[in-house]
Amino acid sequence: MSELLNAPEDGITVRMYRQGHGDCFLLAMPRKGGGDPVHLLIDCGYKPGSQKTLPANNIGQIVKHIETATNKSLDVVVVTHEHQDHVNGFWKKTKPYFKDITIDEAWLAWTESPSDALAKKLRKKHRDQLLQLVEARNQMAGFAAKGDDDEAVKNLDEFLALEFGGEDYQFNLKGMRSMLGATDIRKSTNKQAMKLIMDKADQNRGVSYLNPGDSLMIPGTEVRAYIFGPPRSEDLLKDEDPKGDEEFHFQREFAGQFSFGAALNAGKGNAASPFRKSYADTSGRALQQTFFKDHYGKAGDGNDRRDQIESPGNAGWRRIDHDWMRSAENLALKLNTGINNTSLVIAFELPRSGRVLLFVGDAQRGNWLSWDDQDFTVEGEKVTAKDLMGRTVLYKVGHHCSHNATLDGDPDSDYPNLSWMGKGSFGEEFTAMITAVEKWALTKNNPPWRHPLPAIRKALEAKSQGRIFQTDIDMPEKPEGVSETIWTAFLNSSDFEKLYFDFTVRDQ
Amino acid sequence: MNLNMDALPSHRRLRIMAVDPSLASTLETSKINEIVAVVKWEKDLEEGPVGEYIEVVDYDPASGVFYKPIDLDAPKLLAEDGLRPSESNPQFHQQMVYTVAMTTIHHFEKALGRVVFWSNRWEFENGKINDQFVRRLRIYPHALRDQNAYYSPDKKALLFGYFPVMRKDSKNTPGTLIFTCLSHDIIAHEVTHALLDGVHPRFNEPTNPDVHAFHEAFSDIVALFQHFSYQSVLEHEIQKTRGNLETETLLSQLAQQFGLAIGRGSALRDALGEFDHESGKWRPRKPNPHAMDEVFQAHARGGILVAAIFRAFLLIYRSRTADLFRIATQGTGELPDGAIHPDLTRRLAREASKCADRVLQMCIRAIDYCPPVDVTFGDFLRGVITADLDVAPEDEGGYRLVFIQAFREWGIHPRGVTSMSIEGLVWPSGREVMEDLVDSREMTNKTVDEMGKEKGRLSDLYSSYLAQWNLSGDRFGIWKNMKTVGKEVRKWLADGDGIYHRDYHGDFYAKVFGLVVDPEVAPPTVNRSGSAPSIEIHSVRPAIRRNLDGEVRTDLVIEITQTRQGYFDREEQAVHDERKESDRRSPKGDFSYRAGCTILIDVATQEVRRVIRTTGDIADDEQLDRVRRFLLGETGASGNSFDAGLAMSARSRKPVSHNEPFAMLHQPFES
Repeated sequence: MSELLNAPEDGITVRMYRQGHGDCFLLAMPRKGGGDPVHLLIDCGYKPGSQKTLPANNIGQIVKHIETATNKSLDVVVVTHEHQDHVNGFWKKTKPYFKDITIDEAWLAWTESPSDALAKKLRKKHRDQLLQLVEARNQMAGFAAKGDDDEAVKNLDEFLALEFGGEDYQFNLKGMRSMLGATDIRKSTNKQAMKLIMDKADQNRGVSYLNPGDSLMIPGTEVRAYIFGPPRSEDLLKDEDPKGDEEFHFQREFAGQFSFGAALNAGKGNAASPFRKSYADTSGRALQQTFFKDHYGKAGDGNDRRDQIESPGNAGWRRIDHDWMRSAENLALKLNTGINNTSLVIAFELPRSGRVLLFVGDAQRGNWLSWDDQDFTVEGEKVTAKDLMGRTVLYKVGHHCSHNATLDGDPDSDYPNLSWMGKGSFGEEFTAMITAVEKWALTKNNPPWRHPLPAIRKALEAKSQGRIFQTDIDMPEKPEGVSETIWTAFLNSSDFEKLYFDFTVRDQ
Repeated sequence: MNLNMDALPSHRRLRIMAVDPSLASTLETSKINEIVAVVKWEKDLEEGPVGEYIEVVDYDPASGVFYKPIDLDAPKLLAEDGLRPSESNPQFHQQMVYTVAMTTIHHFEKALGRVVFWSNRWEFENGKINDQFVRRLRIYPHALRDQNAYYSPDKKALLFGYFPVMRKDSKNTPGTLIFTCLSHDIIAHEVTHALLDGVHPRFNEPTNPDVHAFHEAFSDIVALFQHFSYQSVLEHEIQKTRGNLETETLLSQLAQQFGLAIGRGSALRDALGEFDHESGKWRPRKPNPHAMDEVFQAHARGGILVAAIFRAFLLIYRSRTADLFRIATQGTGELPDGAIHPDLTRRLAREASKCADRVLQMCIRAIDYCPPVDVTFGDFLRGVITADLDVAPEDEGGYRLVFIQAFREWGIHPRGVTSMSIEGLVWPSGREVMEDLVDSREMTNKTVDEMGKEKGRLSDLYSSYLAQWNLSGDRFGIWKNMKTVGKEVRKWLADGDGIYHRDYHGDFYAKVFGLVVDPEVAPPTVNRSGSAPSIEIHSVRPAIRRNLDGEVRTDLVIEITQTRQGYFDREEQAVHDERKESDRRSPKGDFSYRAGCTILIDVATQEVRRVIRTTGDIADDEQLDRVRRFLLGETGASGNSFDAGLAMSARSRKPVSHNEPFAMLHQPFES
């Protein structure tokens, strides 16, 4: 029987739900002046399919649990970024999961703001690029009779699923085109989910669009939230090194008739060639000429698989009919990284002890690098990101503990990295939470996803002395060499259940 | 036309662009954008061009058209050194890729002393692997619409991309197109990938952080040093930098152009230098002995090797031009202001060009002196030193010591070496290995003596075939010959052969080469043929070299590998490694662990001159674990946030999956 998630006497209880390969965190804090605890939710989503091997294998069940735990009322909902595995637990077409929950306030990154100029520019760019991807995927599917190109289409679909959302993603060209072309969001589950959260919040205290450098109190508590990211820099959002003075602006996807985008849009055989017509022959005509018959060939030509012969000049395995389309995969990855980097990164600070709980969403390198670009001023005092990181005792590991979402480095590196977290006595309590279903990630995707990345997990194990929560691990084992006292203290602050893990950080 | 052989030209002159024209305005070399390159005359060169080594097939799939192939034998083109450089004529692009590719191939043939081969095509048929000879590397000058160019080991082809850019500070100027196929350095880089793949196909299999990085670095090195071989370009650059090759202008811009055009960002440029924030100037990067511990991404790590080689080159250039500077400055060390004397420019350019050529040859020769798999930068250094020692026993100019110094400064340490001296680094000879084995009681002196008699067997093996080799004969014929020799070598090593001496010593030689042939010693997970551990004669190739004394020597370079099934789970590995009663084959593993050696045999004396072994043999569990940990991403990961850590278990991979190891490496998003 589930019950209200109570707050500790002081400090925060963090509940990590085990809904699947994705994030859903419920924080409970004591309310100033007494009464029901203050509940703050960060994300609710999962990669469809990843829940099957978990004890709770149904998102509906999880949301029902949240309802009971919070009495159907959330003081704050934080949505870190618009990816399927962070938002598809909010909405579905009939009877959206969250329909009965009241939300007092929503916190989103500035990238979601309807009025911010840079945000609007980025959204338009994202829409345009997504449209290109959709077109590419459509073209590729047309070519993919069997074999390799099928994989390429599937890979692309994985990325598109993250961007469009939902639980049973289906590729739908017309729907997606119209969704992206106009502002009709009906075909994007992600957008619907965001709308649900924002509408509910608007009925109460509304939506806050947060910028790096902002700091604000969680309403009703003395816990301060510091906003580290996302950075207001296009280059960093793309994970690219700041370009500075470089002379060129690479807009290769769209610029002009001879771009990748143009070839996709023109459709098969209709794209313009960058050279004069007198130099060119259409494929049809060319393949009737001896030179191209001998040195390129058509389907079925050059099929000789014997041993110890010279490979035929027009062998099929040497042709490149579809290779150019694979540029789409790179575009997809770029897009994905870009959205990951729009993750809202929040450091929650407990008033008395100064302990910090750091939730980074899916922030990747570009986002991380920006964290110490600004300082915070609190009651006349300067607070730096490095300082806050040094007091971090709970780290929600970036992006399923993947490569590039937790930066490696030294305490004296000049960029934010894992070693900046949990310094001194805070290091003795350092704990990590990894949202990953490893086996699913490895076996259900091709190429396989390495979540968590062993090297990062190992580093976290060392740093936390084994205090790691991972979605698919019912209970962590005490590592050798860690004392019983320490481990018992950890177990006493934790609760390991089928649907969730609880962990309490005290504030003395 | 009836042409007397003597009446055929020996060379063909063809014009190329020194610098990609769309980037020309950022580089000060725009004035000399056209150079005339000289390539070997190919008899019966077809249109395309299609020759013995290269076939240019100009298909542009995104545009849906084929571009008409150029005929370089047309009288007009013969008379005018080919087409005039032009961005808008695709036939010039064909001419360009052909010319630069042939130039690169020529450098390799000169250094290696043999005709080059591309890697073989492996066809899978009913569980068997069929080996096919690939005569020509295919080049597609307009294959992609992307800021990318790559070598495809699957297709034995180079795919070049083109893409539009906009100049940052222009007002509505229509987009320029950048063609990666017009960049000399990019073409040379990609051809080198293909050439290296032809010598070491297994250098595509990353088993340590250096492997992929090595491929990139080696290709960069060939491209950069080949760039220096064009005298006119060098003269111009030396003029501008007043003889100082370490200035920003030259290095930074070279590397930057590379990085920009191919979308590699600043990895190469950062390896060679950095911005000094105080002075606001770019300066050459000081060697960092810790970089190897910190940097794992393929390009960035490769940059360390490039920087080390570049440093060696600069040190050599400096010492060889010291006297010229002394003369020019009359001992003061200060050149007068303004332009340096044209005579001085020419002499400096000539020195730089010679140094570059020598360094290039040293680096290329070294690839014959590398282990067949799992190469590291340290192995490569040993290869450079050993190869150079073999070709020039007297080291005038102290090139070898300079190389060692540069590598040491960059923290590149070969595995298992006790001292960074020439003696410590040189790969051992067969005799030295045997002496070590006698010392450690794994062999007796008597055996060694008897093995001496074995040498005769070796020469029996191949001398009959060697006689048929005619290095100006058909490459396919040579290829088939080499395969036959390979088969004989395998038989001799594995189980002797009734034809040869009753007391064959093939298995003792196997010990010297670090191979495990005893079925009792090899764990069950080692691949077998029948009950004995399999030995794969990876390749057999002749190497004819003329050493600096003018003597002609022929070596036989033989690469031998063994394979073992590896499992990600250590317990699973232990289970399968245990000897069982039944002779059942181990199930397919998650990865292949390979070990072996490269040996060089002097054909004239039948001495096993060099034995280059991998760090462990196939039974070595520690090495297998090292590879396991690398594949699981425990020793530095590179890749994107999904596939990094190389979790591709061979068991879950589809049998024929579209795999372009070099395509993704050339994308800007790795970190």
